[in-house]
Amino acid sequence: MSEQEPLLTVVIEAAEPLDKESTTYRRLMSARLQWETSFVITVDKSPLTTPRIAEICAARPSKYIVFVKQSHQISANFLSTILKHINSRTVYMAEPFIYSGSIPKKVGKPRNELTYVYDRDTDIHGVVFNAGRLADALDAVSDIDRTAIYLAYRLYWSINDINPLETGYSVASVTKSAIGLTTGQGPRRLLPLIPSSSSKVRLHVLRLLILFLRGLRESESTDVPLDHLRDIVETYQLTNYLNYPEPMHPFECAWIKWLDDPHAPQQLFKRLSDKDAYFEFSDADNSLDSDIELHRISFGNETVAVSKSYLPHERRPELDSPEVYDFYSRPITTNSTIIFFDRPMQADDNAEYLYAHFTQQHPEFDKVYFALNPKSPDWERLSQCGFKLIPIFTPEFNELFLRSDLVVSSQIYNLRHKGKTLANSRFVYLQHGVQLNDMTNWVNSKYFDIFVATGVVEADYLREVAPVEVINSGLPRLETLRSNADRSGNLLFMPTWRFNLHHASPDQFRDSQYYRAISDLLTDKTLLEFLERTDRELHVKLHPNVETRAGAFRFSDRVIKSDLSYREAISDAEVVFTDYSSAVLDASFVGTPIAYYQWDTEDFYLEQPYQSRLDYRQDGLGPVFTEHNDVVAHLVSERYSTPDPELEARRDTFFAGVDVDRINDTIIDRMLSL
Amino acid sequence: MKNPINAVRRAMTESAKRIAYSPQVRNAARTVLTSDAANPVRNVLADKGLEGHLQRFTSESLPEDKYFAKLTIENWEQFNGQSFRLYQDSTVAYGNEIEPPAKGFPLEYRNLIVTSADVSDFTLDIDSPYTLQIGKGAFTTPQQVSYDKQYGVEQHGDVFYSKRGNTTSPKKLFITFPGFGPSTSRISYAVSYLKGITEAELSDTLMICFQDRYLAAGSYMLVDNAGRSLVDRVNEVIQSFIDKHSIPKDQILLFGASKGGSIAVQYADHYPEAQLLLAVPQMHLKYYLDKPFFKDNIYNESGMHSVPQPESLIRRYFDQGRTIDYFYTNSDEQSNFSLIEAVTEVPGLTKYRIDGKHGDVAKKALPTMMGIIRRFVSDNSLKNDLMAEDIHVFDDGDTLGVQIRIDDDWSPSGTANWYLQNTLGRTQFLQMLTEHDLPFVKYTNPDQRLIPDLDRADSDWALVAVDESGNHWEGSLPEQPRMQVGGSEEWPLSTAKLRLDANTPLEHFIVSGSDISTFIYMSRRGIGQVSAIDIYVVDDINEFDLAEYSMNSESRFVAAIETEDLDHHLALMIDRLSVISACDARNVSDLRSTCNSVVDRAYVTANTDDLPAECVGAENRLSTDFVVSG
Repeated sequence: MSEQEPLLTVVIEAAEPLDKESTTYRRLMSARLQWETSFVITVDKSPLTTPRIAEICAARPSKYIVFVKQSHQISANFLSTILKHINSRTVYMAEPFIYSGSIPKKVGKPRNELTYVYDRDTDIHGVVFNAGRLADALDAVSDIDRTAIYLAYRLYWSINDINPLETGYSVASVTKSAIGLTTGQGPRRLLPLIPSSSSKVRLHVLRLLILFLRGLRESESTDVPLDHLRDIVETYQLTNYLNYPEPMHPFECAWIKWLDDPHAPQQLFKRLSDKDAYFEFSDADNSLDSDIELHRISFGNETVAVSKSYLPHERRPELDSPEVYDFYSRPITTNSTIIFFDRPMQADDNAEYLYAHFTQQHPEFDKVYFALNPKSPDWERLSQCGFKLIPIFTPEFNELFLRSDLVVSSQIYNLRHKGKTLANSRFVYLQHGVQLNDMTNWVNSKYFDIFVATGVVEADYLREVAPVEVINSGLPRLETLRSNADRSGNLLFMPTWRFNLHHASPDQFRDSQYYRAISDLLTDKTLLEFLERTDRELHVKLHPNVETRAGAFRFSDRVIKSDLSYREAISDAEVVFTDYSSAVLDASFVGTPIAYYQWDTEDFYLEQPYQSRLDYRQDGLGPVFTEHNDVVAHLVSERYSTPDPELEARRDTFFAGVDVDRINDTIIDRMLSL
Repeated sequence: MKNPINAVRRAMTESAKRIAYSPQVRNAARTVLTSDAANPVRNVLADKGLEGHLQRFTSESLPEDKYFAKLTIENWEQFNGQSFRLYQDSTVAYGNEIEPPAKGFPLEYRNLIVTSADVSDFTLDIDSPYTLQIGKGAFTTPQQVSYDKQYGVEQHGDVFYSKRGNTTSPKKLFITFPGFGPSTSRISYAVSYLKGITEAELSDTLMICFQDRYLAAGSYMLVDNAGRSLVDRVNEVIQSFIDKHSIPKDQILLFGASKGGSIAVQYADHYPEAQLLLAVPQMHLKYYLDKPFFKDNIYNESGMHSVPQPESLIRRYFDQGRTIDYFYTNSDEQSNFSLIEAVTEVPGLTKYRIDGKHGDVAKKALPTMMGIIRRFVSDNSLKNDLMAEDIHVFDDGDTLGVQIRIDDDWSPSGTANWYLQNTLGRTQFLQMLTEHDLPFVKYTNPDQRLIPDLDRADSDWALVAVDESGNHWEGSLPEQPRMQVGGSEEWPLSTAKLRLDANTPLEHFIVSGSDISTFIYMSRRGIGQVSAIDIYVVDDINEFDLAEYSMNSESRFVAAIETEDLDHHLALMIDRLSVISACDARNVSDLRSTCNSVVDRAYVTANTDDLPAECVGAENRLSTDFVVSG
């Protein structure tokens, strides 16, 4: 390397045009102050595949190389810390603390190091590689996917332990954890099977495998042979570490247990009242008579059927031991502790309505609690309503959970305390709304005894994967939801959320199509004139995830950010429209016209961890618009107020099976019999 | 008083040693130097580093022909776990099984009693370098010296103890006796000081913690280093405290665990109104000591076996209806000697069945035992209600497991023990339960399950918790664990004493864990003079003519055992008969039809561990001096 060559090359992966005003870019550039000649920044618009990275490294642009994705976040001292470190030594690699969410204010050694290691993203971003050694390694393991390069490099050079530098890097997304890796066809192995005794390396391998398997549930096809996965499980003894992924990925953990022991095709998933739910795995040689086939996944020439079955408790001799406490061993009685909760900071959802109904109709149950964050604005309101409130996710909550016979919630959290989880105890999942997207892969990895569906369409879809658990009662909040007789005639807009904006900077947010579409609508002159002329208001009910960014939108006298509850806002509206939110179905349920404005149908599902199962145009309960002008025209023309027989018929079909007067009682009857 | 410092210094010269260590001089010096008044002198000697010399000088005097020896085995690692013997000429002077010493210390066996001061008379039967020191004074260690100082161990003549609590005007007397420490401990002689009991709690109580400072590791406080009985001397000390402070007879508590329990039984003899707190006491010392750790040391101390066995004493105490809290485990037949496991109908007795090994009992039940002690010293205890919400019974056909869910708003907040409680006739019985990780669940682990043949209680089971303050919680169960009991089985099991003069068939049971074997046996004195017992294992004892066999035997005793048992329990039964016969040899013959050859059934063995599993005669060939025909 000549003296002129920089020490480090920063490769910015930017599929879209480089945002030179972004915080990440400006922070990278700020290192120039001290390290002007020590590093160069290059931008790579092509996808960073393994061959591309090998090509970059082979050119030996500098002694070290680091890959940064434009949408990722870095600490202010990221580059200077790295440069200072590699300036005075020769190392194989160096890395910052790597996060999925926001970089904490105080970056440093985590409380639980192995949990950090497991949670850490295993991709190349943020890691400083010795470019020459990376070229050497990739020369040997050129067949692996880009997502495995980091691990392959560590295995190749036997790098068992790395002390992260005191700076932070965030991949700013949890999507990967939610939907797994998408490696596509091509690679015939995940990793080179170079043994390592390091627990940390093994945890990284486990995470990679978990995400790979999670991704396979989406793609259902890979060229990686099954035996290679078995070899990985065995080589790194991954079953010893399954307590780390189990809370988030119980499905994949069951899968790994089967990979470890093909003679145990049935893996217990969840205790249920009458039978237990198992995942079953079978290859061509060992077909099983399962209740429900969930996946048929091809591994090269081999196919694995992944199924679900409900099998009797007798299969579990451990339940015959006094040492094992069975949380189902006693029936739910008036002496039972029952916990309800909605979101920690926001009640006003199905759990609140069911709690209110239950405590009113069943006063003989005197240990029924509603959990909420005391800082929630709903705390005082519910307190005045006589709710027996407990602070959620506190030691007191945990102890109550431990002693409870039933948990009822519109949210699914990985509750676990002293061995009690939702896998071995009773849980009623109320949902927040009606599922319009295909979330079966998500549903399959969640624990519940009862899954509340609304209408036969949703119930049928859910029963394909959870026939025992699904109940078509309708959502609790619908029972008392009514359209206000003297409603104001206002319009209500309820846009939902985009996963890829979770960690967007304010600028990125303002640049997003999401922001622009909503903002354009809220400031549309035609719409504003209509509102003014008809003395109406457009109420905008933002998704809770957007509340902190509400300031980015321009509200006005006629366009008002609604602070009403969903219930109040919907009851009061003359028409309700959204992009994809199922919350508008509440309005449709009570006969209020709804409409969809889907400005990004092409891209929406690309970044979401789920796919639409509903053809909005064929089966939706309101008209669908993709153009700004069309939705504005629909609103200002008041066409929504004209009854549409086809939409009426769709609505009747959609909500079939729901007895509006017995929604809560139907759920209560079922939950008390668990 | 003469200047004792000078006396000690003089004694350190070789020429003066013999005189100084003479019994007369040492007895006089001991009397003076171990008195309370000599504290300042002891302090001066300690300051001058002469404490060890003082210890040895004032240690118990031995007869002219006896000496203290200290054996140090250099190369113990090579022989770890093996038995060794130290021979004096051709006689075993001491033996043990090698265990690792404390880290950083040599492997020492101190205060072996030998009859020669000449080191060349001794040999070690393992090929390891060793050193042997022999002298007239007892050997000690700096750790023991420091320990004695820390716990205020006092020497009064040949008796050692520390005093705690109210030493001036006590209303109660609490006496503790120590168990064995590890054989290689640097502190061979401990006291049960029970640090958890504070001085404030002892405001009305004088606590005497005896030290069993005899032989290499203690003598059950039965004999001194010369093998002479200590019983009267210890009794005198106890009585002196009772007399001095006019302690009411029912205000005495004697406590001991393991060896300490046996000692407590021994010294409770004269105090029928005293309360006894026992954990895993050995009921038959010779049976218990018949093992490698003791076989070649205190097992052979004849003076220890000339007093009534604890078994005999406690049977008398049972008859007297004494107040006894007795903690035991079914996995400790060596200590229990088939009594406590099955005893019922004893008024005043509370049995606490703990799970685990011998050494686990006192640890597991410590809160309960501390609670009993605190109730004694303070007379205060709270009785509270418990709420058992659910019970689940797990019946595996032989035993019952139980899982109980409680409302833990009502339960102890601190460390407590949990039990299932019932009555066996007039005896209280408590089976310990395990605390689940879930604080509201208590359950029986595999070693805590109820056993129909032992636990056929006659009233309702209750759930009980006891904490270390002596507080008590009790609640009824929502449903009773019901046992499946066969109609023909006799209950309770016979706890009659094992006898050598059983002319008619008697029963004897042996328990290990949940396995119970019942043996029918007979035994009689034969006409022979050989120190041996002939034991016949038979199918039907009524068909066996014991009288005829005894007529034709040269052995001192002849016994027959009827059993179908082929396992370890039969070997134990044979051991027991052998041990109580006190004979040197045993001749065991299996005459049961399950064996192939009648001729092959007879054999002689000195160790029933050699009993083959299927047929005792098959591998151990017939002895030439004993033949069975038919």
